[in-house]
Amino acid sequence: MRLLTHNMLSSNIKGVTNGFPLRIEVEKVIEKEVDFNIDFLRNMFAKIEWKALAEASRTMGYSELPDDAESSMLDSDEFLRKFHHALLELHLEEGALVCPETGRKFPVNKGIPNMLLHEDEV
Amino acid sequence: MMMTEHCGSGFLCCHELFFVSSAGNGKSIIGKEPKFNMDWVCWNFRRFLKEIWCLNWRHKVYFDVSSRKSERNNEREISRITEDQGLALNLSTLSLLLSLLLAVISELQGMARNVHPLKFRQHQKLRRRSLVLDAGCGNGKYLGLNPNCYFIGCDISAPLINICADKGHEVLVADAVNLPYRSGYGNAAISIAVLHHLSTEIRRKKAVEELIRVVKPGGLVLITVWAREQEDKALVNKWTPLNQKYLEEWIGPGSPRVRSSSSSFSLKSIPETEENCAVEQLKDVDEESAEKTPHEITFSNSSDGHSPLDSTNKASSLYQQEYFVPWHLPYHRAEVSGASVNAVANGLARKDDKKGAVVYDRYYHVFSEGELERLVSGVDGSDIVDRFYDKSNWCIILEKTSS
Repeated sequence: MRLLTHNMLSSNIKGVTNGFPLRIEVEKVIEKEVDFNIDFLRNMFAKIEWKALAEASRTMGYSELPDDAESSMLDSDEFLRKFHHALLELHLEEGALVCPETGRKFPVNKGIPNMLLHEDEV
Repeated sequence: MMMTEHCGSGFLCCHELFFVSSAGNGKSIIGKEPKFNMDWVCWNFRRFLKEIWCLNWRHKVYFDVSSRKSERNNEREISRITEDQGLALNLSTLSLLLSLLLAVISELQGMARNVHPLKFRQHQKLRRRSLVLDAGCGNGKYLGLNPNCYFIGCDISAPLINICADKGHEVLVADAVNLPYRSGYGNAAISIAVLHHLSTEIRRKKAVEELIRVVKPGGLVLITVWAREQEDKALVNKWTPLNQKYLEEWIGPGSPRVRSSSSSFSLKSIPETEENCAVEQLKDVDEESAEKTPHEITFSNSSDGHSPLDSTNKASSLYQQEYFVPWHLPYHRAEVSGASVNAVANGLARKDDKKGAVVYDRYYHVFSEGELERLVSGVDGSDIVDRFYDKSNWCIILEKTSS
């Protein structure tokens, strides 16, 4: 699971009003190189909840992202490289995602989050 | 538009294929009456598009007319020239492609409304570097189809998601009826051959709501479903209509187990490898019904003992729309896990010794004409951009409104 995906995921358990962002429990992080694409990064920047991304990347062991970001920073190649790395190249391979409201854990195995709910959670 | 049969070999740019004026001094091919029926043309055109989608418009298409073949099977052959990242076509294939393009031009002029390459329009409207969310991605057939977009897929079936992950796709296990995504994140969402597996209108509507919710304002949603109006009408007679007992248990108002009985139960009961094949092959049926191969996908003849549906649902009151569509798993594959033995013992599957296969029934709610439009019209926040019928599927494209 990339942090691009983590930034989209939200706990959808019945009754939960703010399921975002899911807290990350790390067992294993891997890195995979991805082609650098400025257009995609610019497109995604507008959607990204930056604080969640910065926090998540720190949890994953990458502390290079600034606490805050604004669109003017997209002119900086250095910033874009860091953004790119955090968003697309860090993978949570093993671990869990934790609902911020209920503490319910969604397992992540072999890089795949399982977000299926139990019957009583729907 | 002229094309020669005797011009040797050469190159065309992909974009030029739409605007070929003359490529030699031979006789015109596409000026002649199309010699293929439209079904066949439509189907082949999509095959070509699949290939062409992998290409940039600037990529070249190589054509070689020295080995013209008249056999249909040979005409279907296409091979990629990897070093050029182009496409190799012999003349007959190229002439066919041009015929197909002509057919599309006719379509654009409103001459053949129902001939419509499935995701072509969706593709055209998607901007480069879009984030596309595939809800119900199956084995990942459509993930990465458009190389200019970034895909995230989900499916309720963990075994299928494992296949996607092995292919390197970004995926998760989730229910299309209840997407664990925050709103407005995607540039587009697709739901290919998913809604007809949901057993109640409430769940189908919820799935549509979710698709719209997760795309940004102005974002596109493509939905395709199996049509009750199958092009091969004989096919419908071979499906098993759900009888009253099933209707009460599955979709009746008093059903206490609507969700669990239709998804979790069947998912657990079909072992991994078999389910993979089942969904993959069924999706193939959805998308390329002309490619159905009877020896791989055979349909049961046993439709006896079932009364026609008498549903209170207005949209389906005139028709039978709830079916079990049999899927045949050959014995040699079924024995791998042994789970089929259990399935047969529990009455979840049956053996067909004649065909040498274990037969599973998969639930389908086939959509009648206009039903998909009615379904999405009941969901606020989107406009219908396009709707069409494509190879036994009803298809619709929605655009999320800004407000």
